[in-house]
Amino acid sequence: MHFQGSPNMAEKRVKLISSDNDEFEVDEAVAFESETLRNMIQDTGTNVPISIPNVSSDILAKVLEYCSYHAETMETHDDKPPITDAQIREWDADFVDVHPATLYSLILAANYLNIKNLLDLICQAVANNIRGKTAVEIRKILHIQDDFTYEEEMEIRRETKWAFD
Amino acid sequence: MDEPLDHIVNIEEGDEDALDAALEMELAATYAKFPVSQMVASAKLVGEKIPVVIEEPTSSHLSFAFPGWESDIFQGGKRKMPSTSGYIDDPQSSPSKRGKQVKNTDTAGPSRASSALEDPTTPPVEGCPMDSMDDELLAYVFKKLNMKDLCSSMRTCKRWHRVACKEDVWGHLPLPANVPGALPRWMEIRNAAMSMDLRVRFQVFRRGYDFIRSALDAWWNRGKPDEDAEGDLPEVFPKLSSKSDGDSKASGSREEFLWDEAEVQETWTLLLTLWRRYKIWLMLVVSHCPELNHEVMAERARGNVLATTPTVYGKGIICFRSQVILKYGIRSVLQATWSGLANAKRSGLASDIQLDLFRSVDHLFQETSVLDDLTLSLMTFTQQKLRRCFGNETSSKAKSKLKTNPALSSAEADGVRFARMAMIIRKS
Repeated sequence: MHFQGSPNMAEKRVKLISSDNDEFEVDEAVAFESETLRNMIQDTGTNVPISIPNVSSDILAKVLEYCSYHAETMETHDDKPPITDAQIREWDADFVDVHPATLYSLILAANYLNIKNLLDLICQAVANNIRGKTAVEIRKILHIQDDFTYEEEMEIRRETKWAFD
Repeated sequence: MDEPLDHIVNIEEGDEDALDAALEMELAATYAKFPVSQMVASAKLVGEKIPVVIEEPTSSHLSFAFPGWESDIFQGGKRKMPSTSGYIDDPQSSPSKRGKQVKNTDTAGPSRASSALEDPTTPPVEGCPMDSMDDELLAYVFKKLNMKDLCSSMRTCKRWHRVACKEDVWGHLPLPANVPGALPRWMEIRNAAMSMDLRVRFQVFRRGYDFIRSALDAWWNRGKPDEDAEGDLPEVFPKLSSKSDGDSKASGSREEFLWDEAEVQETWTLLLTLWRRYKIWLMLVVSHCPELNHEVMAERARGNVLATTPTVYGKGIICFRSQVILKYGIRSVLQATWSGLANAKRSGLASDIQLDLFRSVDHLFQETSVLDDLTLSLMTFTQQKLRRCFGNETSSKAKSKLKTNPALSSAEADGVRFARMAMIIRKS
């Protein structure tokens, strides 16, 4: 499995190894989207493959898809019109339109790799899921166990009642 | 399986008016600004009434748990894993759950979500996917929510409540200046704390706690905690202390004196009864010190290093510890009988009654082992002393708990739970 970054930035390539031992090769600029990888590369250089033990291949592929797209948007091309913000937003919206389980894995990966924009994007998507729902609905969609006692539940209802008036 | 939920909803509807009234009172108390002098004056007024106070307790001020106080208020109960779920495992609710999930992802984006869900290879989601996220990440998600959604999230489970209570989760939200009642309580409290001079704050606490101490003295000397309580304190306590005086004179050393079983039981049953009654009385005191509580909360909400002031409830417990359990005269009796009780337990010869008693007493020690009042001098600290005097016999579990979490003892959490129970009982 190989990922192609933008073609005109092919000088330095970085090898990444997922938890399933798949190897990914990306441009340095793509890897630099991740703070964690940036630090690692600055420490060890690009010759050594970097293993990412807690991110699986499919999730890492997804993350790198995001990184390469966003690395691309940063570049200026003379022959192509620059990518507009609206286009990026559309792409992002399409990107997070995945199964919730993938979304949660992506959060963990984005957090570990420290890609702030991606983390923001996914957290926003997760927050959108919660938006406008009652506590009971949130419990249902996220399979949360209600572990309050009756007294605690009443207390918290009082505590938060102001928001629902 | 859905029964508990229905139960809650029903009761909530019935109590809605009462809840509203209580909430309004609470808010009014929180937003009122108390100059120091006024506060102390009102405290004194209440102090005079204390021995006879039962009329209309302002119980709504008992809420120790509020956003911004970051300690886990439900320390006793560990979060259960979703597999033991009551509502979620209900097979009947599963279809609707699925439907919800589809609808829900639709809000994020319409095209691929539903196909992903219908995909037969999709693994079934077990448990909350958020469980794998640490608190920091969860808080990160919460920061994207508005106030109403945040409040809904707080109502879902203990973990979410705890995380959503963190101050920085609310930081991005604008303050709705037009409606003060719409502010989360802690925000207002935090602002109040920020604007208050440090020196003034200490004065408030000192005077406030002086009042509590004197109220306690009044109770021990002549009061009854409430009208229903049987027997007078002055009667039972001299009995205890006179006994100990006699003993120490007669035998010189408490180890040599043999206590018979009945006496051991009597002593501790008495203390436990007193403790229960004391707690009820303490609740009344607490409910009459909304201003003081308000200031303590403010102090804690600030997360200041100097925020070492105990809550009113905590202070009450410290007083009980210093003035009753560890009081010279009473302490020697308790120590001797306690080791007798522990010996019986160790030797395996203890009766069921004795074992019950042992457990209750053990719990009492846990409850009373709250953090010392750090605004006072080192001389007054008694937490260590309690452990020195009775610590050898208490269970290792209690000890490890004290070691790992000195900031919030289980006693405080118990106090919170007790406060709530009492509140609800009184309301109904």
